[in-house]
Amino acid sequence: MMIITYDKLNDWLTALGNNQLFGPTATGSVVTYASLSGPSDLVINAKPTKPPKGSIFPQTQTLFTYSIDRGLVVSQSGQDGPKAVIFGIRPCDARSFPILDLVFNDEYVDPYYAKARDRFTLVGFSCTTPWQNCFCTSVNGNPGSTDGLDILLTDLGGRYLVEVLSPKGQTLVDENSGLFSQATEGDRAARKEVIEQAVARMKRNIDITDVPRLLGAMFDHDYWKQISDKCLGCGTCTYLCPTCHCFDMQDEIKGTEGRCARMWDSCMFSEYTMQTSGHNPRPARTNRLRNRVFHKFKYYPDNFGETLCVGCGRCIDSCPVNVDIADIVAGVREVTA
Amino acid sequence: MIDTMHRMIKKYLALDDVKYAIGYEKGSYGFRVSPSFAYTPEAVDRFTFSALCVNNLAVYPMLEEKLPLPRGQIAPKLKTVVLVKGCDSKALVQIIKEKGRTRDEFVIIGIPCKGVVDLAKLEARFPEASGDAAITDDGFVITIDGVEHMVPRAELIAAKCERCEHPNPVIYDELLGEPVEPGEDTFDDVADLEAMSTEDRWKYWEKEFDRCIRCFACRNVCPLCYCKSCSGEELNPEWIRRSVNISENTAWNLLRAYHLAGRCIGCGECERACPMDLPLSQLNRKMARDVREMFDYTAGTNPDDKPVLTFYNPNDPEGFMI
Repeated sequence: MMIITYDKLNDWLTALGNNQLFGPTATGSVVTYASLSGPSDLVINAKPTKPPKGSIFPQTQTLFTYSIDRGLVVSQSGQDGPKAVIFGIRPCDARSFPILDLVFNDEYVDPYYAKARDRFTLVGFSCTTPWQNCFCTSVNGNPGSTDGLDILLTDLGGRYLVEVLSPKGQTLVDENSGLFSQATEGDRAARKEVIEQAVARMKRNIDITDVPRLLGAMFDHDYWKQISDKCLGCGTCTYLCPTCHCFDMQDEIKGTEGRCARMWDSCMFSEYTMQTSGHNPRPARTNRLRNRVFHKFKYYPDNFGETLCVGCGRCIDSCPVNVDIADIVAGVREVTA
Repeated sequence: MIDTMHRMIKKYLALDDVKYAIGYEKGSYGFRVSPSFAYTPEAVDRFTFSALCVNNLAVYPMLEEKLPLPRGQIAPKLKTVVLVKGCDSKALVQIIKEKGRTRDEFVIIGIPCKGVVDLAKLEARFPEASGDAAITDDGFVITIDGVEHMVPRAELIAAKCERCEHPNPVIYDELLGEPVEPGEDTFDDVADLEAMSTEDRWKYWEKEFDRCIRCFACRNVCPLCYCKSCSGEELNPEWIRRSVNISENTAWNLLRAYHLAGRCIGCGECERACPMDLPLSQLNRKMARDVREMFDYTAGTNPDDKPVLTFYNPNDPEGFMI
């Protein structure tokens, strides 16, 4: 383990500018993970409204282009890009990538996702004070989790403990080795204490033991109507969620040129399962909200062994009508008791 | 007032032709308040009202899905009890005018409103806290863990309340509370926009629309956006592409503003709901101001007149005609 002081961190960030650099930064009046042009752009003490999934799984992505000028010519869209770093990613957000890997980069490899995943190095900040709606510890996460990260920085006051977790991470440290010093036993102990305090400060805790089985037994329960009456059916929760990954594919044609593009879709939209016949097996918000909860807390665990939620709390923060997925899941246990 | 409200709503819920009541209840964290649906008298006990009740509940009647019924079965015509503040009530008036619903489908419980908080400002002022808020003639009383904090009105009030011309419900079956003195809306924010050069205005909106993620929170929270098939999502023809970029985002936001011209009642929910903080009220208010000036019409204020863009008046302005 290494140590880097606050001002050496700024030097490091400046040096990292030879990569495509992203991190939490002010984007108008909100904070999102976006391009950083320098250390002063970095915003450490705010939860970015949008998760970083858009860097590796963009909201709109060209899959291939085509033209019918002289016969049909199809060109697959290039997937290569420059080396990139997301600096200041939170452990919950970082965890989302190993979870998404199970769909995009495992048994079936999505080349667009895989190449992007490859070129990104993730440098995380552990959380010292969880926000109001954080519940990462309830979904197998932790404010000091290293899951999905290449480097984890923990703020020990005046300096950060630097944990290098992968060869990619090692490269970023080796390229700037003069900025780092060795960590001491005291530093390691301080890290342990900081994380323990963060866990103790977690305001929301839910028990998800056995939830997949409990959900399976209550598909037709009236509970789903009760909790979904207020849902508006917009896409805020899904688009701000680090692990939501449904997508649509559309052809965009102008004259003799066109492209096939993939873009984020939302299971909350009314036409999510609308079929060409006009039949919709999920016609009401109650069907779709139930499906969302099931996907995250039953289907994904059943299929892939992981909960499709990292407990970041963004959906709870931003839902205009206070749909609260942590409360909903906690309620499942009460209702089936 | 809360007890009176409970008794009143329970009285209506007990009637045979009333299906359910829509009100507010305490939210799940912080200062949040949640829309609440009571199908039984017991559920009404959860209903509350305070300066935290920012939601426009008039969105819900039109969100109700009308699912197919077995052959021969007809859905019973049942009423909905709905709690509305002054601004919210205008949405119901406009919806009824447009024949989205009929007047007899509602039992409208109107609440004269002194104003609600701007939740973002409240959360910035008292971060990570939870509690209650009341509004008095002297300002806000924010109660956190039993301690009362007095905050001047101007520091926490929602922007729409500063210029509210209809604090008292325009339509109601029952009124809960004393009438409140209306204010005046001089559309200063629109004037500020118009004072910009076209180039500056374009740059301004480009910066804002760039952040749009097309989540449609603005559309879904809006009581007047109730098209079963939204032109923003139509695929045949595809008026707006699904891809998210400045061109399509601009088209979406302008399209929605135009479709709301003469219909938007200025509740500001779109701006509140937007997770990316787009200043959507400005767009809709520009439309509202123009409609007022051109046609002497304000949406949702007169249950008896026709929607402004549905009829031709020989005196309509013709400045655009060559």
